[in-house]
Amino acid sequence: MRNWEDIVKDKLEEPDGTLPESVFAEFQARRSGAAPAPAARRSPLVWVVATAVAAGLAAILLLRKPSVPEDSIRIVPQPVPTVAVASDSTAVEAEEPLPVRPLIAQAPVPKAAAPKTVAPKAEEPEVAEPEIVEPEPVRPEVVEPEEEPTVSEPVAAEPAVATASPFVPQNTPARSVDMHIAPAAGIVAGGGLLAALLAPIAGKGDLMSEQASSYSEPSYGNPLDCNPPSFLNEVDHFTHTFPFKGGLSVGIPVSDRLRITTGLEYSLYQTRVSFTKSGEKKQAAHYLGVPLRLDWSLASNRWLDVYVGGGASGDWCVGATHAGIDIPRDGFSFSLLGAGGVQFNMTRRLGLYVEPEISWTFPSEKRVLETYRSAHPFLFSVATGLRINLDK
Amino acid sequence: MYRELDEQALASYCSKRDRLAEEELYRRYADRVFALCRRYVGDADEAKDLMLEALIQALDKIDTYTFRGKGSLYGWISRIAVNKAINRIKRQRWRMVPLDARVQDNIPDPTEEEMVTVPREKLLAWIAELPDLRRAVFNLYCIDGYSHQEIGKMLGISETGSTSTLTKARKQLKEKIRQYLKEQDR
Repeated sequence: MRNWEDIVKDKLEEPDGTLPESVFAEFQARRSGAAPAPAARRSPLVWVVATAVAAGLAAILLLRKPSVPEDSIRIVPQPVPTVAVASDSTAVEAEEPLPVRPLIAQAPVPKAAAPKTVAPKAEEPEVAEPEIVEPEPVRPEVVEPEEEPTVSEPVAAEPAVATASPFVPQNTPARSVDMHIAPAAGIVAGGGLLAALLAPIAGKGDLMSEQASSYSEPSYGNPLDCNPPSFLNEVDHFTHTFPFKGGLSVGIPVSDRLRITTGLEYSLYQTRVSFTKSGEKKQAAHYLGVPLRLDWSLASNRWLDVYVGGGASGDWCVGATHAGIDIPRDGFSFSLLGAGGVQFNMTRRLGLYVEPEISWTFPSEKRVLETYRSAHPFLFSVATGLRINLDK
Repeated sequence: MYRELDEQALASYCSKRDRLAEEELYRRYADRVFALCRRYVGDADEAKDLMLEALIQALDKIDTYTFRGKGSLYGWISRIAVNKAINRIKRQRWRMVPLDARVQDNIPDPTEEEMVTVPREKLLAWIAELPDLRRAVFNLYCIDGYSHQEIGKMLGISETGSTSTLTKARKQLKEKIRQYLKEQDR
């Protein structure tokens, strides 16, 4: 008796002759080069990523200030022209020059070159602009005589135009603005999501819990000082900062969807301890944890993995400081984890993960520090880091 | 004249860019390659494009073909088609792995008599409904005869992953066959 798979194989291996004649014509056309091969179909995700990259580049370009190198167009203040009062040939005293100096954009010229425009009055500009290569002061021989104000009329018309110009005012030295476009345009999706998730951590106490406590255990204080009167019985309240978690993880596939995840995770718990007499002191506690979790892949492709998982973690407090002074540390703690995550696959084996995580820490007598974790045994946190995918 | 050529001679004429020999190659193998591609990609139009690409690539690289006995030319062309199909599957943007908690365990294997009543088109349709990875592994192992080690290398998965994927593919197909047979019995 034959296996059902062999029967499937026999049925499917042989052709059924359903290929239409038009396919042969298409083959001939493609072979002769007349008909190009159809364009590869792209999934919508390509367009999403392309749009995101384009939006990122557009945002960077909009924020970018234009650069004005020194050898580009410069703003050159011009001497104030004489304003014409009468048009008859009788000598008329020229009025006092206008207080506003005209500004003209001038292309770069060698220092020895003569200026393009001719000022009607030999008057050096008052503004000292050492960085500008100013044109030569108007030489007396080219200055129009004051008795002929009509010559200056066309020039006098210029200030009205120049004052309305958007150019930099005369006292502002021209300088080149050196701008650099951040090279982060290529990382769009992963970096944006990471920044959004880490914003509460980077913020100043966006997610904090205040806890008034009459906590007066002698462990709060300088361990070198057995009875520090300034600390004992003076804790007013604790302000815990949202913890930071990051680490290096390893994913070991069990099946096409199941994976064991473990690694090393660093957590930072920062607390501001407010004392009634001595004000606020900063406490920092550093933990190293080894999580062990079973992850279930919901969807994955070459660039992205979306998964959920659950497991447990053991944490050791490797350091604790209070106002920069070492203090006694928490003992070993054990917690249960539930996490959902997104992993951006940078290479076939290396990915960047972002995991919102819920954990519950078992109560322990070995805990001596007041941290975000002790205040919230049922803790929501966001872990991020690098993951090495074994045998993917 | 070209219809009587053996594989080695046909390949030799094709390497000289003999247009009639190339058309003869198409007539001999296009149907089978199309059937192979249809098993891998599921969609008939996509299978047609894949088949044409495979045949054209085979003709472009016919100089690299080495005759190894009867049937080796089709085997060589089908290997090109399989590689193209696998590359297309790997380029898929989303490999949605369905939650198949409802697939029963311990589904009895269909008998030979039962399988005779199952139409070819139904089998093709059910295989097309499989997720990409399961479909590829089922085709490569059960129909094209690749080992799990070879499948793992081609698809970038482990041998264990290939085995478990094949198990799931078999379960899913058996369930479809059982449902069809149940409806036929009514």
